[in-house]
Amino acid sequence: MRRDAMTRRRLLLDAGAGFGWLAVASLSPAAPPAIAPRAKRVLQVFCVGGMSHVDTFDYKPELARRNGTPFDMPTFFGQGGNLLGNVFEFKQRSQSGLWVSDLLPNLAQHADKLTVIRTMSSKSANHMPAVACMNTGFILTGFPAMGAWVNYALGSESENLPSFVVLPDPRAHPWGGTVQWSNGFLPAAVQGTMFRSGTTAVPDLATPAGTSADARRAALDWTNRMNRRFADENPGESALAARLRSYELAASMQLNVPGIADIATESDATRKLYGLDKKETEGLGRQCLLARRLIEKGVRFVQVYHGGSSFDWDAHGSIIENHTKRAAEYDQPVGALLADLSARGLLADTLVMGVTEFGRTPVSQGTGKTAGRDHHPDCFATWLAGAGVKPGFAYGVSDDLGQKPAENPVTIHDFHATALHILGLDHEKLTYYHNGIQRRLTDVHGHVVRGILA
Amino acid sequence: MRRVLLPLLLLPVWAAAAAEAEAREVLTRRCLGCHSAELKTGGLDLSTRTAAARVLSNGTLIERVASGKMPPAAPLPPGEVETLREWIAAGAPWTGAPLAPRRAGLDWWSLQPLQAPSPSLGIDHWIGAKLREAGLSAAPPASRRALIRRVTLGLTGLAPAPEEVNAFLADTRPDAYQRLVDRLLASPHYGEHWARHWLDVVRYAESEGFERDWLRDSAWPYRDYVIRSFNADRLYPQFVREQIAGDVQEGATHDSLIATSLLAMGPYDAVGLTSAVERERDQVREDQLEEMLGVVSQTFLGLTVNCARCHNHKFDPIPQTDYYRLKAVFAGVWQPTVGTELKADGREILTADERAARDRQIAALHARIAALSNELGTLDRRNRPADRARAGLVARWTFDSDARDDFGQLHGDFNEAAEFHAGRLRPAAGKDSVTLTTAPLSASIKEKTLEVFLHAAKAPAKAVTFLQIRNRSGFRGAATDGIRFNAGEKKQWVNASTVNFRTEEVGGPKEDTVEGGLIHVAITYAASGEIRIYRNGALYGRAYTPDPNLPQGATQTYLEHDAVLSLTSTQELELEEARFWGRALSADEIAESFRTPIVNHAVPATEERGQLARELAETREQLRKLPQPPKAFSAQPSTPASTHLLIRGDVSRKGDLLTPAAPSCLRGHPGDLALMPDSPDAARRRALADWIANDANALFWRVMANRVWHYHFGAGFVDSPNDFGYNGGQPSHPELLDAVAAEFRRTGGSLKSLHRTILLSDAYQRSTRFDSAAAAKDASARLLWRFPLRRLNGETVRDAMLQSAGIMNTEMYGPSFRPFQIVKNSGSYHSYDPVDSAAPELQRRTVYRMNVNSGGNPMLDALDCPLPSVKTPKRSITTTPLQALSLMNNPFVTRMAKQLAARVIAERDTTAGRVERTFELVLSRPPREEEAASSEALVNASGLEALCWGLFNTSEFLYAP
Repeated sequence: MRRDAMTRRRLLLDAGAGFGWLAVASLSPAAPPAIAPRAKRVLQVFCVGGMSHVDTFDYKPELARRNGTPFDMPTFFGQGGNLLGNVFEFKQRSQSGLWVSDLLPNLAQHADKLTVIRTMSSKSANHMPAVACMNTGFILTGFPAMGAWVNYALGSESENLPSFVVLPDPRAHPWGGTVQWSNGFLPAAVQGTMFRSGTTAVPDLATPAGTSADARRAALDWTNRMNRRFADENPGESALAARLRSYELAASMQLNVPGIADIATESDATRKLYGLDKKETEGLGRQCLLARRLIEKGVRFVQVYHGGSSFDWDAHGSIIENHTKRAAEYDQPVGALLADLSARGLLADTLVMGVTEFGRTPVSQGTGKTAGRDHHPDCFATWLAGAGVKPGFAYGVSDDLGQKPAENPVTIHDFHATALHILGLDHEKLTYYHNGIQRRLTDVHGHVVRGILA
Repeated sequence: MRRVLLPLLLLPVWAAAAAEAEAREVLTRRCLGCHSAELKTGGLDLSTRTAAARVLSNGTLIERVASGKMPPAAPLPPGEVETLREWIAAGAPWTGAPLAPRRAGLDWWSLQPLQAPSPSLGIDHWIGAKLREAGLSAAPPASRRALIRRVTLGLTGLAPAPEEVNAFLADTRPDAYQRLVDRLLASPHYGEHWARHWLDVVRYAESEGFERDWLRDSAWPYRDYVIRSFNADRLYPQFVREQIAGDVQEGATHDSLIATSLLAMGPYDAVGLTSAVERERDQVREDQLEEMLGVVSQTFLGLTVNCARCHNHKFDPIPQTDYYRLKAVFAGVWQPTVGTELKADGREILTADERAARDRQIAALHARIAALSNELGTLDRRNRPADRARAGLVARWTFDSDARDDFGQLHGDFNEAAEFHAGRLRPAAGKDSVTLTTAPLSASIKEKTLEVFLHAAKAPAKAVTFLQIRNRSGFRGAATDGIRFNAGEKKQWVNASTVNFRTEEVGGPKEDTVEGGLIHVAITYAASGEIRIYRNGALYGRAYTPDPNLPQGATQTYLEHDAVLSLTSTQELELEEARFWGRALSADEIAESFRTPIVNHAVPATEERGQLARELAETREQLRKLPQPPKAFSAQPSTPASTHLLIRGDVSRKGDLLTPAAPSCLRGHPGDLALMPDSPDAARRRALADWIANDANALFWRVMANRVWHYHFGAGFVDSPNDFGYNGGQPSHPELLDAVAAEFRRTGGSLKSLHRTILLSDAYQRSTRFDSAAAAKDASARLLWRFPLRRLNGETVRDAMLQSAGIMNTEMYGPSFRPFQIVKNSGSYHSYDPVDSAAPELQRRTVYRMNVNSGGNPMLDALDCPLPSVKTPKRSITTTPLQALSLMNNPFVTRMAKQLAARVIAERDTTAGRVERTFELVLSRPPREEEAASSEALVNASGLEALCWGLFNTSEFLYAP
């Protein structure tokens, strides 16, 4: 059998290392990391539906100048109209002078914390495959999400919590649902765990209502004795010892998770900061606040979805109406997240990523008040903040219309390679054998975008 | 050479060795793929020092890699360039052997013919030889109790009943174990368990995947086919031929028609395949075919041909042309859901004869219905006043006795859900709505008026488009206009248009019609582009003109022979009459049209009419009652598109036209299938099926023999059952693998014989007893000095709980049970939330569970049940806190513990008796003395349910002995 750098980790994982990754990592005197990690963890906010780059982070005066003039380009729905200039006003912000439109006033206040990449491209113009592409690097299902890869490589800093946690929009799941945080062919232990807020945050967490605590404790003690003896009689099976440990961890989760998921303990000021007092911001505000709590407790990769198969940024109809509504939900909680992480010193070793599946066309779809924009995978913007990236910085230049990257294009593979790099992982060495191929998050592509590294 | 040797002497020996090792690594990984002794791409061979000397000494190599020219499109990381630079600067020390690419050649072991040794040398001969070689001695035989639990779980996925255990223990006949194996192989549960293994490999999925993930209601016949095949011991070659070409074989049967579901079961990107961008559609189709190719080549051949889509295979001797040749074999195969029909429906399973008979039957009934309707319509119209010739009227439907166009030729089509009652179109009982589609327009239309009279049977709440015109071609009916009632808060009339481009809310009053009222709605579409909506003859809200810069221009053109109208009635609003005009009527004309009384033509109740109406009703009833043919999610054949090599896998870069063929890398079994580039689909797949399921195809036999071994022992001779290429490595017991494969071939591919051969070996019957000295040499017992403990798969865990609780529903076959509820989210998306209940279908074996991609189950997921659409030749075995949580708290486990306790309480009277019975039901053994004592204490303190729960959480329960 072929061995690779990850084999040992894989064996440990298969045998049940669970969430207790730190202990395992310290056991492993494998080669020292070739790359010094800048970030310990990732917090990703995913705008489902496709946020318009030319109305948020990529200011295109030429597009505005040519507003209403014809321009021939293929679009997903094949109904491209004339060029449509930015529908929200852009300004240069803060010290850095980063361009951010008026659509995102709160986020704009944090411009000096952001690295904006303006030359992203994706492989699909279609929602589900494009979301999958941002998550896994592939447009087909069956591949592990980035969070699963990171979990596989780094494990958790927490004894009590899964190390890849997903907080979907309570109103709708993203296209493809749970497939979007799947472990793919990696061991099931690294898949994303969906959290809701409250006591039922994790499936099967609570002891069933009809079972008394005493009876459960007695039965658990009895079972542990049985299992310990069975493990002793079969010393060749490391998984049996791991099973004993897994029950300890499960008990610890039962004790701790409800407290972590319960945001009622947060101060009024914090709740207000995240917008929990307002109808439009309450949903994402709760998710962002829970995300911060999870990050604080050592969860390695938290993914927050804003929007899903509905309530998304998919502005075919009216870009003004749709994006105004979505931004009103998104802007304050995400701004609060950056402020809060920064105040708590977490931004120093957390990489925050604001992503979407694709941008939107520079030409309109429809006209007048109902003018929208179609899917546009050829060029879009993402932002990063926190550990490892240059603050107040824009990378890459798109062409005059924001249609295609003009300088420093960044593929999703590059984007993934860079995020892994910031976590101290070499994207070419993080591999897993599956059905004939040493698989990577970055397939056979990807270059670290050194230009954005701090 | 002397020049390069000199600096070498200056380096300490260890440093030189390290520099050489690092450089060899870089050269092998980055360069040898092309510049091997075998390939010598561009005339350059980097495999030996002599061959490489020139480019090393003249600086070419370092210049090429440092400049990023080589390797093409994948420049070396700076660190590796430095490695080479330092190594060359040190004189390029080359003390090791010639470099060989890390890949398999045509001489790779698995590509050679089977080396069938003497059949008299059984399994244990070869196992024993390896053990002796390694200085290991075998563990003693397993206890009979362990053996019956092991083999019963292994063959049927169920635990032996306590009575079966006792009978086996009492059976002193020398062939008792053989009889046990035979009994288990004859059990229908054998097919259920082994079908699940097969379903893993072929990624059996009962939903579409991708963003819709719609359910495939007709996928289950394939699961039943697999179960039937295993139980009937269908010979493996036939089993495989049917799955590749069963629908196009001579004398196709229902089973062989169902079997090709294997090809169609992959994920289906409904949205991508209907993209407006041709390139995107092509890309999706290529992905679909790669997926299909992957399942065929990995399942039956253990070859990852799919890795050669963009370039020659990196590790195996599979050139890119082989990929496209194999792709050509399947170029005519589609999943059953093609085109714009976004419904995961299956294909009717009918043999050619049955199909012809059914078609004849239906055609006759349709003809009869048409004739009777025509007679009836003609009779009814005989007494009507002739329609006044009105300028521009194109069609008028009165729905008095049918959906015929009284004025023109746009007759509505036949629909079983349509009823005509009181002069109105009405959905049949049980249907929310009915939509009829008319014949296509006979002339193109630009200007128009749509007009309906609606009878409000109930106060309307649901959104519906009642009269719509649309072009059928173009992306998603690129042009539509229609009269639409907007539901929800709005309750207003609007024009329904493509992506709402031509839709505006005009601000008319809300519809608050009293029941029984008649509403007249008309929309005019003028040449100027202006759209006006009228209600009951008066302008409704404001007129508006959509922006002229629309993709389709100011007015929509509806094309001759392409555009059709659709007529819809709901339970709330029924169409009383509909009219379609080829021009925009004026406000006065609309008012006039509104005032034109609706004529509910008085139908004279003559005897002739009564007779006709009865006959018509009877014939419709006959049609309705025709038994629906069974459906399966099987392959949809079509005329194959020509297949070209795609340069770097790019759909827009076509290379040579290719002939369909099988892989070319098997020694003694050439891949030529004697086909032409334009051979029909049937010929292609039949030829490939015969080539794959062939005595000369060593991989075919080896791969399946290895799979069966893998499931029995927890690991195959080759530990990657889908990959017998370079990455799969060398087999642990090469001679034995060939011996087992050859024996499998000798029996014609009888799986039951193969099981017998394996299960009757000493190796299978060994105990799991640990030995630290042996473990020091072979910790994972790969050489089988002991039998490995194996974690039960998630399905078996669930089944064993149901079984011990005594409530397993053993009903076989049929539609899958759904342990989830469908939660409708807004938009077109829905999710599947897990549920547990005591409903009988939810107590069926897990193999009958509906395998939905996004419909996970926390307990089964935590026990490593794979994602349905992922090909899973080998399950991962994980142990996690989430798994512990599920076994502790999942409602199903709680319910099973309760059920088991109730069962045992009914069956035994004393605590001691109950403890013993519970142990036997869950672990197939009585408790040891100290276990009995602690168990009784637990039962006395916390009840029997606590013990049941505890046993379900033991490792002993989860692991087969």
